[in-house]
Amino acid sequence: MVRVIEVNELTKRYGHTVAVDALTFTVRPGRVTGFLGPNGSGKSTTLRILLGLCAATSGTALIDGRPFRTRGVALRHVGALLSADDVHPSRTARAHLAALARANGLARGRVDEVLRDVGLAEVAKRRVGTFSLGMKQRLGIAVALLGDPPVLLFDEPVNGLDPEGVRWARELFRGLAAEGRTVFVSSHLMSEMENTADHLVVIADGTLVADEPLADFAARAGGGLEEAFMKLTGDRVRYRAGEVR
Amino acid sequence: MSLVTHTPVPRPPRRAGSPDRARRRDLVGAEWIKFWSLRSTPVTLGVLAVLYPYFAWRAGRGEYRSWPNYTPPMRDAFDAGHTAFPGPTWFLMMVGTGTIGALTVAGEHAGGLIRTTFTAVPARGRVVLAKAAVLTKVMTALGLVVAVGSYQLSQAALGDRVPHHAITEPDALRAVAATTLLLPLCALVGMALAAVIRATAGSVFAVCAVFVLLPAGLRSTGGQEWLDPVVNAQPWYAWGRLTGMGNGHIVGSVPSFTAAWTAMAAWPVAAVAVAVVALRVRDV
Repeated sequence: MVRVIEVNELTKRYGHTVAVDALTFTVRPGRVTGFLGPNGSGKSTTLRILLGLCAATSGTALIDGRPFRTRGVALRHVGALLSADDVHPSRTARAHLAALARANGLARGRVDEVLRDVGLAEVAKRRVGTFSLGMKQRLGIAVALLGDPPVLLFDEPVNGLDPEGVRWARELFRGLAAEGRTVFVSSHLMSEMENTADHLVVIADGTLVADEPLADFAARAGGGLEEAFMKLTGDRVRYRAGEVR
Repeated sequence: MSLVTHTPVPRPPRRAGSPDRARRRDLVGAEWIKFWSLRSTPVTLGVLAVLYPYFAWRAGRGEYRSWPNYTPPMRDAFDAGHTAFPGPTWFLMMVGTGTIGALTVAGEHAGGLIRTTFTAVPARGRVVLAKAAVLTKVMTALGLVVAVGSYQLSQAALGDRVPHHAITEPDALRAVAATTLLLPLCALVGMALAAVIRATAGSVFAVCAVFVLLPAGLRSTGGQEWLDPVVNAQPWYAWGRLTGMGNGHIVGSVPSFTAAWTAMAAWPVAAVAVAVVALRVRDV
């Protein structure tokens, strides 16, 4: 299906640990879908499997109806930011982007365009190792935007961004969705999701808790998103402070 | 659920070709940018390009000075190849080029760059082949510069005392060719070791182990003749055989030229195969 992310009965085991357990959900175009879950609930693992970086133990994860690794180059179809640290610290921002653009056969001018779009044009020749976390997040977003793809995945993209940056990212994601793209954003910041997402996929312990409009999910606890999230995932948190399990 | 009109998403212009296929020229171009955009790489290559011709000149000068004291059998055993390419100093070259090769892959694993790379180009095997192509190009060029430069400088340093061998003589050409090819061999083996080991420190140690400790350890098991083919297939020994130009008496087992060339060809081919498989099958 065009621009649709389909995860079907997806399971990933590491030894005896089940990171993702028979997970099924669909992410549709034209809206921002938030991907919520406590730390260690399997969000990043799911995204990595979607992007062909990890092999699933069983089940399928498709984008545009295809497993990711059946593509030769991908930036024009799927853009992704997994971690701000997925860079080489000794390379400049421009060289990092130039290599990715070149590999995908994108026009060289695209590099300067995305650097401007994310606000890094002035530091393009600085080595990435000197960047703050927020600047590295912007660079990661620039990578995702490089091929102007119809499907975008972001893993905790607003970590480390300043308030202006958080607002910018929120408007960017909403704008991308309004253009008809599929935007899938993971986060554990409830307030941020409340302002950004139209639809939610919520997981805990690697299993699906909810796949519904944000308003419906928030209404479940009668209060806001945070209350609903705590109510539905509270007993399935893997890492909790002040407690020996 | 809201109804949304799906406006067509504009695409940036692509130069040519099918939109999905990873093109070799583009992938090699990308790896070329990555290779040269790390400051330490050109510095290291520059140092090696100057250092080894200097070693060769110094060795030639040593022969020039000692020549009057050499007995006739010693003069007869003079080896222009091993003067231009003094074996022990070349362990450092092998470790240096092997490390550069290792860093092209270990550097991707050190942060998480490998995930960005494979998210942009899911055809992992082709990424590895592009890396190998860049390493082969750069290292063969450096190898040629170092080999020719070293040989000519060592000849020049011999002065008028020691018999000369022009670089166009078959033995000299063999020594220069083997030395040229030793550099890409080492870089590709380094790349393969890093593809398996991933961690930077571990990969560099493995480079040292394979190029220095392994041949030394194997040789010290002396007397076990069944090990000779394994010993002779080590890059340092195979290369040492091919750079030998003397007619002195050889002690112990040495490979034939054919066996030495076969080893020189087999190492890089096996290395690329290992790197492709290691990076294709594992989670990153």
